[in-house]
Amino acid sequence: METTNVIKQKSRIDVTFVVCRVLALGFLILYVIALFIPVIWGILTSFKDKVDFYYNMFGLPEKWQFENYLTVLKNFKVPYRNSEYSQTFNFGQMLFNSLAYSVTTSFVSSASMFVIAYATSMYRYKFSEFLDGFIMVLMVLPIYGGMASEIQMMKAFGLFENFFGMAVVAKLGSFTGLWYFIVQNIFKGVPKAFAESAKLDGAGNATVFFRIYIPLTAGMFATLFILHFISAWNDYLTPKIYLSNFPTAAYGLWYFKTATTADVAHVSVKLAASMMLLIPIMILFIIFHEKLMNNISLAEGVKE
Amino acid sequence: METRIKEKEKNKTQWSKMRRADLIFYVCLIVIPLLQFSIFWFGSKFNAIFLAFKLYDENGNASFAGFANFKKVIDNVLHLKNYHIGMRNGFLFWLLNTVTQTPLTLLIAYSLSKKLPGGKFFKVVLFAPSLASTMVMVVLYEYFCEEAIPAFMLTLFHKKIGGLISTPDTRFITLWLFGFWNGFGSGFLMYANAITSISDSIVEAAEIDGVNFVQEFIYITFPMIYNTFAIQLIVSLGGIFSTQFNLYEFYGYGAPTSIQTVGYYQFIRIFLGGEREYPELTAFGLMTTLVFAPLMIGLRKLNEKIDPMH
Repeated sequence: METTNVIKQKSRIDVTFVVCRVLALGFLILYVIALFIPVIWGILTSFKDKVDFYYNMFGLPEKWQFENYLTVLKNFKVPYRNSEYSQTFNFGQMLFNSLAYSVTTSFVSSASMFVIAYATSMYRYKFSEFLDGFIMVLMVLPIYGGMASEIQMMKAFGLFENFFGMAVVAKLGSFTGLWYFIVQNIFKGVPKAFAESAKLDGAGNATVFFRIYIPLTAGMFATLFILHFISAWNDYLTPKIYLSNFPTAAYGLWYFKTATTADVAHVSVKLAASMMLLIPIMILFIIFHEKLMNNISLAEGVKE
Repeated sequence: METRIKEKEKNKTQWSKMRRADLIFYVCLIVIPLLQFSIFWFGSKFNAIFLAFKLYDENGNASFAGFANFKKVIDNVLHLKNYHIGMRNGFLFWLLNTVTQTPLTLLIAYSLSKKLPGGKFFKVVLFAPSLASTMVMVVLYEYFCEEAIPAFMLTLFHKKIGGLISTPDTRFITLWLFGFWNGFGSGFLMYANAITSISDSIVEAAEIDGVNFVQEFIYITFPMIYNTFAIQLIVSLGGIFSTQFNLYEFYGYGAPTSIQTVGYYQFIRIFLGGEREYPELTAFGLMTTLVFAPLMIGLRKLNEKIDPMH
């Protein structure tokens, strides 16, 4: 009797397990199809001309129209005008702006996060504990209606439409958020024996930070930098609001999307512009996907 | 005896020097980021409070407005259709996300933690949309919904339909689906990370005791990730009044009123109205904060009481 009950229970367990896995697998397959189909359709459409697009919407291009990409390069422009001067930015300039903005903001944001997380994890003064709690509260507490005030503040401090202001000064205080706790934990995970041995050898606090902790956590810094880079590269709103005199490619795409001139109004050309922004990030992902996807672990390196 | 006392004093002096050096280094590390944060975060919040009591005339001159902006906000919220529609849409977006996306992300994250076939591939695919610019995804999705799907319906089913975003009947659900399509991966990643932090020994012990797939989720996995789930739910509630749900990416300044959210409506007023709109919009923000902040704190306290791990 007991053996039968155990067998029955095992059968029930298997069915539950199988049903849930089939449901999960089914949903994931549908999701992957739903994700890939528009992207593949977008890539193929970006190579079609108007006639090919309307009569052959789902097939391969009759003739691969690389001219669509050249049209984007010629017409991907954003105008800027203020009381003193006006300027039109082309694709190359916007690409450079994107690179400069992304690299600078990523480095400054990541460095700010690292420095504060290191200070509060290594030096547990009352203020460090207060900061931990404050950042936790900030994550959950909603603060509304701040944008208008922020714009006024940026103008008052001369940071509005100022690359150094927005890419450097505005990012110096970017240490709040979930990553603060993650980076803190990484520092706490480094064996204290490293710092203690260094101090016994006469190293100061700065030496311990720059020559021991930074090299050991360089991988994490790189991951944070890459994630910030991707976020800054894709951000069109911050440059649109605060750096319209320094438009990035993402902002350019927003502007291009609404363009109505005959050359660029067509779907294929708009999709070609999107592909030109998607490709660099996909290349970055292909190169760094292991680093981005895996958990960061510190290699033990106690001196032997 | 004297030597011992001298040694103790020497150690005390050395120890004070070390502690002073630590403190000086600590201050040097935190001073610049904290100064920037204090000026720009606290500064902008204080500025927001002052801004809410101002009034700007056509020439940009500010005057003290008392509580006029707050009265205007209450009046608008009670009588202006944009706010009624915006709150309704914000709530509906939040509800749909919570009811569909949350259980699905939990199921997928849990299943993938149990070595589902193709797990690594699915993780990479789920992560990929978070890398692409929202603008790129919007352009792809918009043209696919407006051109490809109607053409597909006509070719295969001989049924003529309009673009899913331009047709009022399908607009809302299509735009909501974009959020699901583009944002599912980031929700999944959050729960996947929380599940991987559960100790293997707890799971193995449970398996030895004979728990099945569902029992393990109910009695072990969910209680251990409950905090992540609860915080995500509480934080998402706040988005009802602030999130645009990608309307600006799709429509720029011209989203139809029927689809607008409060967050979108406020956002476009900042740019179309200019500085004259700032005081009223900031007053709205302050009032929303005063309502939601205690609500969030209360929900967090309640959450701590019902958290299965406490």
